[in-house]
Amino acid sequence: MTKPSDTNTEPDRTAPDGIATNAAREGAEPFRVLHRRYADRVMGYALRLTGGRRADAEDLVQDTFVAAYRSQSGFRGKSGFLAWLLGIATRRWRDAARRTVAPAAPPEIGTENADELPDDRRPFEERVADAAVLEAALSRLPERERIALLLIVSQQLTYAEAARATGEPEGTVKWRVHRAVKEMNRLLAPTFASDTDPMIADYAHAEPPATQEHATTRPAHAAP
Amino acid sequence: MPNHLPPKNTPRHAPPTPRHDRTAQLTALGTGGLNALQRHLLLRHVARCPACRAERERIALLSAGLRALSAAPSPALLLPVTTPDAFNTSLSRFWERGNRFSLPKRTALFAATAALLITAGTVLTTLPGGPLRPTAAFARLEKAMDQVKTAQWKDVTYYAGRLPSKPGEESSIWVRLDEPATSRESPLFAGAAVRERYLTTPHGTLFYAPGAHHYWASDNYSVSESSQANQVNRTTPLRAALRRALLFPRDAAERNSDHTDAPPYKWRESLWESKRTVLNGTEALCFTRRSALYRDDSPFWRKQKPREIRETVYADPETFLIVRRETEQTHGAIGRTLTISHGFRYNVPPPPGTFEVSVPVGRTVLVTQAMLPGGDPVSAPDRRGAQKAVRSLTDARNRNDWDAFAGVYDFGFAPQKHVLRESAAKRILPLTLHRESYPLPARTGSENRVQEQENFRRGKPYRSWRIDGIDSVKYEGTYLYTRRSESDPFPPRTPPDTFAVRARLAAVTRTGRTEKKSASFTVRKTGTDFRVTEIRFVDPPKP
Repeated sequence: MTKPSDTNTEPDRTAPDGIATNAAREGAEPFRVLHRRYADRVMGYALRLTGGRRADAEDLVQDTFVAAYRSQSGFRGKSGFLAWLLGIATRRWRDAARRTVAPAAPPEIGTENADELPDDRRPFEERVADAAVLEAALSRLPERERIALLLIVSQQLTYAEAARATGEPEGTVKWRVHRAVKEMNRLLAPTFASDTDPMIADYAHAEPPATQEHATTRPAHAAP
Repeated sequence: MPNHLPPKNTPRHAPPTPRHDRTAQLTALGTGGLNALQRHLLLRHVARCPACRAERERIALLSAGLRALSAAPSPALLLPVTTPDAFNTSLSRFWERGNRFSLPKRTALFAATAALLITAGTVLTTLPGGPLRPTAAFARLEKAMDQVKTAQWKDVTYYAGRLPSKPGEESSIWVRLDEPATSRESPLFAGAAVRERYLTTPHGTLFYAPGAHHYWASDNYSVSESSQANQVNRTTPLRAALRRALLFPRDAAERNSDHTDAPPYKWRESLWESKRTVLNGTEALCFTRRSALYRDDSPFWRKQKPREIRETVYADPETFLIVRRETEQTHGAIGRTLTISHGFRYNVPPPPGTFEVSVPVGRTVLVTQAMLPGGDPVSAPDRRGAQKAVRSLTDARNRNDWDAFAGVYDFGFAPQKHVLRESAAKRILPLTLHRESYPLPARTGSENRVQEQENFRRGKPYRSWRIDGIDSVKYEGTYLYTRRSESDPFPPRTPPDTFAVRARLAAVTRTGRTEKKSASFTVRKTGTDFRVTEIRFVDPPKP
């Protein structure tokens, strides 16, 4: 059960605060306080890393905190405590992905367009507010771009912290975030069903009057 | 077969691609990846560009949506059974690197050190015989001061060594402790018939020197007044200071010999040695102590040798009241002085007027009236006017614009020869421009400028002055006052029409290398006109 007071919703830009201090002074039990404080953030990150697979995400969170508990000497205070945890989670996830690498299967017939989201006419604002659509779009990003976007935008780390967490230069992280945002914008832009939407279908099948086409495609003074 | 393609001219993606792609910058803008300049430029562009504005809004929406995904309910923590060697080791290491959370440890250390020092200080100052406290016998002299209401004695100073041979200068001192006040009357200079008076009360200090001598052309009254609030605050400290000065003449020596702007003296002193002796045929207690008086706060003063002071105090063995004091001190390599205080009388009512100075009716005097710290502040226009005058003067000096210099500098005001003499004794340049050097109206402005140029050319070492900043501005009123009747109050209650504002500045001078100097500029205000009347370098340049 997460205590509301232990939940940190603000970006952790600094070193651990008083809670971490208590942890440093009082021993193992305060680590649970730290867990209560940061576990939800790590879990949110892990869920998006694993593409929404909750079991994998829970394992990753558990793995992350145990690793943090054991290798606490690695925390040197150069970044925030959350950034340190997310860095561990990122490396753990990559290690796990490397161990379970599978040969790429040939794409199934009919899934050539799997990188695209289903057509949706809703405007961008509504699609972004829909968590399911947002997660679906996230899952379609290349992994490194997804990680960069999650660390910077979702978890609100600084570029320096994200670079330390991912082991990449800051410039690379910036570039990945840019690519990810651009791709997310593209994925979440409203699209039109070609044949399911009756209005579009009608419009698509209708034979536009020649004069109208001319009027829309040619300037008036260029009419023959 | 249905047509899967959208009709012509129907965009697949709604947002039109802007002609310039600033997505990277807009993304960085929302995620803190831009510096201040980049941010400013981009925001200025976004304000004008609808496409970028729309793109920025999209990115903001996306960021908000992603932030909403930042957290999710997490599983319970299962820690391994084997407990590692404390999570706190690295954290504590982190805190030890100057983090604020290491403060408690440091605070404890600091508190312990402070407590130790306070304890040691208390013991040393209260324990009789300690280095900071006279011996038990001398403590009885301090105790005897409780019964003193007034005291009177005479000081005679003898000079030896390279100091000019002078006859002993006798000063008469009165001290009143219940209503703290002191009055010192002494020859204006060695062998002078006229005597100056120096009064100190909680209301301020008053210096009186009658005229008709070579220092000033008229009587001089120098009044430093305290504000009403300050008068109350000064009463107790002044009483303590007077009582202490009575016991330890070195305090008076320190106060008299200390220059106003020089770093304060430091003291190193030995323990009191006591013995019984015979003084003028009667038995007396004799206490002796050696002290060293030195300055080490600046390279200039550090070159000076410490002054050595030997104090001898004789006391009555029955009343423990002081009956004689001898203070001998060296003045560097130039000689030494011996001041003998004798003729002590206690609890004798002082003659009327001892702690007052009155101006004879019909006499015109030059009054210098200053506000002590805590007095009324200088008004803002006066402060600005003084600063402007000083800046104009230095600018004119650096531009060699002597017309402008003469426009700001008042050559004909308040000659103070002693300043010149003091400067010459220290082998520093006569930076104070005196009427003696520029006797107006015998010289024209042009001749003054020539003399001025010659002075600086001959004297060096200042090629230019630069004012870094004005440290302080003190109120100091200088004006002529004529007392018309006995009922006229003195000092006069009306503010003077003409007064001076003293500005202390940090001036940078160049003598081949840049040196930082402090200078004091006296500025006189007449109506709305501010003119500099005196320039003095507080930290004198090296010869």
